[in-house]
Amino acid sequence: MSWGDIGAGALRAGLALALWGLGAAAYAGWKRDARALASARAVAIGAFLLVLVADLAMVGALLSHDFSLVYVAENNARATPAFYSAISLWAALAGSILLWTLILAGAVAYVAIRGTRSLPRLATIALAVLFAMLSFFLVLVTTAAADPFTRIAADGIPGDGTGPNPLLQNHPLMALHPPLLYLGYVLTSVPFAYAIAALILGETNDRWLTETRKAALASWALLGVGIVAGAWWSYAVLGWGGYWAWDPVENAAIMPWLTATAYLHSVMVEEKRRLLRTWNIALVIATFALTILGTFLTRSGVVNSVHSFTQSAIGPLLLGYFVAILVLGAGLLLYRIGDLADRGSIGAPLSRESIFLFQNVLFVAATLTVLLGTLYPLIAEALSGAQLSIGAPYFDRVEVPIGLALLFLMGLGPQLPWHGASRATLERQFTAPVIAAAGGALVAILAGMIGVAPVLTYALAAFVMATVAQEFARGVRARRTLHAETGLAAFVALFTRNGRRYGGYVVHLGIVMVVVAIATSQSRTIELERTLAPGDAMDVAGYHVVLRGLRDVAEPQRATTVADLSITGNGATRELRPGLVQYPNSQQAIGSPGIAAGSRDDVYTILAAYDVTGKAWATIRVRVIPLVSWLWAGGAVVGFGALIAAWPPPRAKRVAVPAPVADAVGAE
Amino acid sequence: MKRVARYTAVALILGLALVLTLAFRRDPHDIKTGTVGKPAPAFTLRSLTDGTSVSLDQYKGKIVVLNFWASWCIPCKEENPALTNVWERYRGTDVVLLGVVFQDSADAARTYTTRLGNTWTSAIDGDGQVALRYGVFGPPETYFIGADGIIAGRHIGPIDESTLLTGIDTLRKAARP
Repeated sequence: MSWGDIGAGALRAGLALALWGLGAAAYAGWKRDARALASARAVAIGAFLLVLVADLAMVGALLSHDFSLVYVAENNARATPAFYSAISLWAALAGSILLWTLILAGAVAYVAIRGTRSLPRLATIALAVLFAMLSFFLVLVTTAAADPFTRIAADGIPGDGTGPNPLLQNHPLMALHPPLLYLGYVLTSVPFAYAIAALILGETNDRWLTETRKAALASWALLGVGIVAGAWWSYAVLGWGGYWAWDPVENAAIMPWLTATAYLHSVMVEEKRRLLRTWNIALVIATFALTILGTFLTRSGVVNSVHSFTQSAIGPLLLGYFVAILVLGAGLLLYRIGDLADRGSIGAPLSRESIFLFQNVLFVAATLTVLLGTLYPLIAEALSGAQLSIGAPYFDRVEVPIGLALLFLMGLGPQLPWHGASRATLERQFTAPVIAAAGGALVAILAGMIGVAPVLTYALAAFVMATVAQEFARGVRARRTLHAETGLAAFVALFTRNGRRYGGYVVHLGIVMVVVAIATSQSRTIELERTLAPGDAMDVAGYHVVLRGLRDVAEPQRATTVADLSITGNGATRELRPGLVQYPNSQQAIGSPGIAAGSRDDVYTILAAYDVTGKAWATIRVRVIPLVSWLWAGGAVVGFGALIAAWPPPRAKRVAVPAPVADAVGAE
Repeated sequence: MKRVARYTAVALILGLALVLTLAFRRDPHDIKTGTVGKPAPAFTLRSLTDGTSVSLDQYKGKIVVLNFWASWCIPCKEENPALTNVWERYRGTDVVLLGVVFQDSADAARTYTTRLGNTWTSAIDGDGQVALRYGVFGPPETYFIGADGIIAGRHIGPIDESTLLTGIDTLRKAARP
């Protein structure tokens, strides 16, 4: 039995189980039938295991170079190192959808086991919704749309494959970025399924919110960290020293992250004040729909993007899926809109809930403007036939002011009490942050920042940092007074006792790091390009760069021409090896930058051109990019803060007593 | 109110589905070259460096390599050495290299040309109308205009030196039969 037989068989059996699970969960939810629910739960675990087998079979086929499978022949070669062979599972369409299906099957199994214990009927309907989604993805991977196990006729099996796309086997971050994004994308389906279940059942209470808080937070954090990992990958691989280009595929990832961020804040208004119910459900539906729209844009090949994917039958299917989600979500929301009406109003403009509302409006505005910029070429062509592209200036011009306003609200919101603030509160809360903001502006001006946006970014970053520091200082002081703890014990206790709040502040600090890194690297990068003979040197921003020589490096899977550079200056001594890499499956050599990363700045070197015949000269481009490594560190801090926020508080562990399935279903 | 919301939702979903469905009609990488073979649209713009007027008419009878670019565009930077070499080679001959900046601010574009040491003329297409008339998809894009004023070729994306030389040679041969 081959890897292909195992994988294809497991997926078909998985599809049968998913369809069974869909029927069983729907019946269990409708008739409150405990046996049907037990069956759906068992089937969920079975389906997950089968999809896991299929994914492992694909990894096995890649590692053993089983070129009888089209996917392996197109994305693997005998010379591909084992690490890149294994992660080629997500190097192309069919494998990516297979990984996606595995994560979704995991989410289904999780809801089946955990969810149906705490909120049996609601979770059972949500489970049915998730089974429907899983069935859809299993249809994709078992039909021509994205079948990863399509075979090559016995007489046509190649002796060697073409190997993965050169850009996808040039950096280990490839192992991290796509799975993180897929995890983030897929986990948005859990809050969506619960929201749909709540709408179907007409439940107007907020229990589904509490139940899905962790999934929402996890999907948001994974998406965020995945986006930063993608930016880092693009920085380290693509060789132009940038990390974001407003490419349609990047936009596809940022849009659901923006609406998910809005949701994580507005959900607090619902929890505290029972307001914004319709809005929150709309955000959950929008976030999920945007992940599917993003997948559609990425995978259907309808937009012109650097992430070029071949067209396949998957496009129309994903479009149908997207429209079905919109129709179902919007239809149910409009049907129940009367029951969801708020019984109160937001009230004072200077209250925490008002700031959350403003912030939400800005996040949605940011999403819609990115969506418009991404879809505009399609709209323009549909309406007038004109083919055009929307460049970065549109996005910068629209998104930078929105981003700065959001940064301001990020400092403002946590300092304001619910319901409204008195003048005395405002003075107490904002004296230090306003002074810090002035200090931040001064630092920016002294550092030579030019332009309103970078200076304002520094000022607002200092403002937010001061508010966070103030919150921690107050929290520690209060605990020391109330519990007689030491400063450190009180600081740690803030996270363990109220992780959600203080984890949130850590996230804010991470965002500040990201924003400062973007503002500084965008406005203060110094670049110089020189053609040097071996032994020649160039000086850039205090760094002395010497070209020692050029040499060829041969590896089984690629041939590289490397420039040996010595970098000295600003207290650092580094050897860098930027190169031009030639893969056998690509006509064009791809640049592999040499990067000396530092907390102050990165020295980013590129071998732009060289003397092919005698290696007598090389054109070296050097970019000194300040604070860019803070961007990656900021992403990690955001992820860490989210982890603190999601960590269960000590007391919650003791109350988690599962109820027997039959009783729970009957009792609902 | 509810009815308005319902109609709006239906209209938005239908509109979005229609736009996305229509997008299947073509491959986005296959960009139409509608203006090739037709007379090059005339224009009069301001020079980036000194603000003087730059029009296509003033190069009548010459071969014009019209390069659309922007300072924020990374591939534009990549193709700059090729443009520089071609400019040095044909300077003062019957071949003119003319840059058109669009989707960009004049200040950013001026900083860009100074930093890269570009000395050929670039004109600023502030409202993007010239780019639109030529059917530019996005920067960088290069048009080869013959001595007869007809657009003979178009290159989308960063151009290399040999493509530039071949394009110019073909037009020179056509001009001197």
